[in-house]
Amino acid sequence: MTDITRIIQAVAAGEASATDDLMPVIYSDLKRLATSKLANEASGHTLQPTALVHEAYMRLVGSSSDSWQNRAHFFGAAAEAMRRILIDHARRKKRIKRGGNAKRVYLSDITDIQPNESEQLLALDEALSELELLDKKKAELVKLKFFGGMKLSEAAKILDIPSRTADRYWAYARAWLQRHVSEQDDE
Amino acid sequence: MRTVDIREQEIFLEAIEIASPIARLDYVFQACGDNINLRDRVQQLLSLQNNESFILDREVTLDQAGNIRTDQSEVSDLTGVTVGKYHLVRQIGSGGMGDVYLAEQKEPIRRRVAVKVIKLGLDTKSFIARFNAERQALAVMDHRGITKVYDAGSTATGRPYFVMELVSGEDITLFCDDSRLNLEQRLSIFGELCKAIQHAHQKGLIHRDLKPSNILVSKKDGEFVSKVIDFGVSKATHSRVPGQTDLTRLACMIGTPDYMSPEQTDTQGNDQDIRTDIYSLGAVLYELLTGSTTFELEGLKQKNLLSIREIIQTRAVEAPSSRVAKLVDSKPQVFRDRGLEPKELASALRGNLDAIVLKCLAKDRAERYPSIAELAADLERHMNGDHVTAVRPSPIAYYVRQFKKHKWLLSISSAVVTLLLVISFISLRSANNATRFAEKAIEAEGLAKQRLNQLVVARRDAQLEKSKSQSFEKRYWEKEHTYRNEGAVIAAIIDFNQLRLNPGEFYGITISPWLRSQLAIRFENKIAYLVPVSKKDTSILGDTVLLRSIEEMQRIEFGPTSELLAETLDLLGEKYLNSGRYDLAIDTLRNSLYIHTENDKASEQRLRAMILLSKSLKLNGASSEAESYLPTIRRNLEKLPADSRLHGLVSELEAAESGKSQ
Repeated sequence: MTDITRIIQAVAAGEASATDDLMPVIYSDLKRLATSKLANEASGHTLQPTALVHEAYMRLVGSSSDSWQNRAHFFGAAAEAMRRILIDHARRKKRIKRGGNAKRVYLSDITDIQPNESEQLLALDEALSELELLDKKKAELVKLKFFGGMKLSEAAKILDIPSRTADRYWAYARAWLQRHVSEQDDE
Repeated sequence: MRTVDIREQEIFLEAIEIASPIARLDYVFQACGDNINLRDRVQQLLSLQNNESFILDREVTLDQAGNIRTDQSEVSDLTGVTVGKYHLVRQIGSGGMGDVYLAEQKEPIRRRVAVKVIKLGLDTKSFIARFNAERQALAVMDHRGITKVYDAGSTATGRPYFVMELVSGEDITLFCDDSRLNLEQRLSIFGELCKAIQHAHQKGLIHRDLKPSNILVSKKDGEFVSKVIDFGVSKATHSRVPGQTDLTRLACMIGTPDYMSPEQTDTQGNDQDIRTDIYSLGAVLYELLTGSTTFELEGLKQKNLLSIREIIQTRAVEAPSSRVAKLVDSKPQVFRDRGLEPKELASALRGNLDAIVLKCLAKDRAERYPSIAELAADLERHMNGDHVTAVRPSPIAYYVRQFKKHKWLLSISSAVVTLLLVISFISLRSANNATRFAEKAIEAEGLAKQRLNQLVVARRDAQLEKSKSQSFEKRYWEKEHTYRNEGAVIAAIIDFNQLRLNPGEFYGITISPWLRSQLAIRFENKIAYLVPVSKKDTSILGDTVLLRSIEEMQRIEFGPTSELLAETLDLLGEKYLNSGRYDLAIDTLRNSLYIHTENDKASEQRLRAMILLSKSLKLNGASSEAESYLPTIRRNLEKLPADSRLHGLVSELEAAESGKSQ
């Protein structure tokens, strides 16, 4: 039995401290997985973080102990872990852009005046943190779908809400987050 | 603990279930009530619903350099792709509705065509069905000013496309500005454009989406050639779902709403005819002449659909000459592009061109040119220096302009005067044929409804602008029941005006001066009843009618001592009394009392006139004279049945407080 399954079972058994243990374990596992994938694949390869989460699940938890409860705990932690990994990447890119590895950029190179994806992601993360404070369930739903790569119906099961409610939560959260992002832009 | 705004969430979630954008916005409006902040927040959320570029909707990927990338789920560039029989060579244009490609067709004939691939999330099947339904009509259209549409279909991913004749050219407005064409040249290009549209109209086709980007102009052999594109397309893309309208196009952020006619923004947007095209042409002409669009809606587009609709439906279009006068500093190129000094341009537009453009842009399509031919004829007259038929301002536009100008500071009387002015135009046009009574009544009812809408929208406007209520507004608008009755008020005013303007008849039916005065009072009372404002203000309304009736009665039919004349004098006297003009009341009632006495000393009418006179005298401070009538009044009153209305009138007289002696 892997560490992860053990921790998941502990969480399921009601050991609160186990929840805190789960995220770092998954985090380091996902990170290692991402790094090795990107290093080994042929040049030009891109990696889908959400696919990575699913792959990690299959490997770490496997079909042996596939219960919804296990899935719920795993994906909840994995989504958060993946969020942190991506945000780390985005922050690093932003630092490079701001200074450090300064590079001459020609005007013709700037084809898009939209904030780049890293900046968009950071802005989304910030809005999501705000939403977490106001409405944990909706924030969790967004995390599961966006960072955990789950379908809304799956996420609904994990959060134990009707699928239709999940759709509505998603619609509202999506618009809410967008508004929050655009308002931060304006300031 | 802080939470998300529950009310906002509720309204938002309810709203997204409503398919029709108009119904949806109406719901939001109603649900938010006076809470404008809440409404703005909800509308902001709703407008973000359609934004497809939000990162949350995309799949995030990491590349080898650790860069964050996102997938665009749909390939937007179709260059090199073959759709149906057409090989897309390169993109030659991009519009709100879709991208246009230069394409090669190999079979059955080899030719180059333009393929427009539509962006909308349209129902492809019904698009093609609708297109096929239009095909026959499109096929019979043959005019050099109209681009032929050959075919339609859908791409592998289900995006609808249509195939059309390949034409070169620039948007009409851009072309004219780039070539710095003078007004004559612009009008002549516009005239050619009119001929093309007229051809289509004669074949029974309406464009429905005329705008500069659909009118391409080029120069060939020293001649300007204009080509209208996308004929038949708008109808095919126009959804027939009940309640869904062209405003859906707004909701999808397609194109600019500046060329959209008021009826296209209506919930019943399906009811469109050639006059919709005339409106759009007017909007194009407006831009050709002034270098600016009718309402400059572009910036507003993303903001608020409801206010766009309100603007299109209610805001008066500024006359082209006044518009250009405002552009002297902000847009000097407008004058340069037309080779005129600011003053020259304004004066060239003033008069004929102002009138022609505004006639095209009338809110009520009945006020527009009934056909392109008449618009073209007026333009021709203008160019030949002849009298232009449009030179009589549209009453509706005039009304709206006046109403906006004096917004909420109007006293009831000036509002009524404004309405009267408007209606006078309509009435002057009325035919005198008695058989058309019903028709007229329907017309009047339509007008009343229309004005009711305008007033309701105007009221919303006031809410939007949080304008401080003046006492008039308070009394007139705040009470819900009052504004439900606005239609009746206006109907009464229209009726009233019929009386005022057509002596001797009412909706084409001959009436006597006496009947006229009776009707005038009835309508006046109705207005006074429906509009809870000072009796004195509305009372002025009927005066002219009554006075004229009295004059006529004395002069012609009835002679100076007719009982009917006395009754009319009573009406007038009572009006004066109720509105506090006691001097006039006393004069008038003395006259009527004299006539009554001559005719029948015992009549109820005489007693009534006496009571009213006595009351007027009392209120005016002439107590002793007032009291001199009391014995006669009391004596006669005893002879009357107990339920006579005159008892009440006497009680009123007795209760009246004597005014101060002057």
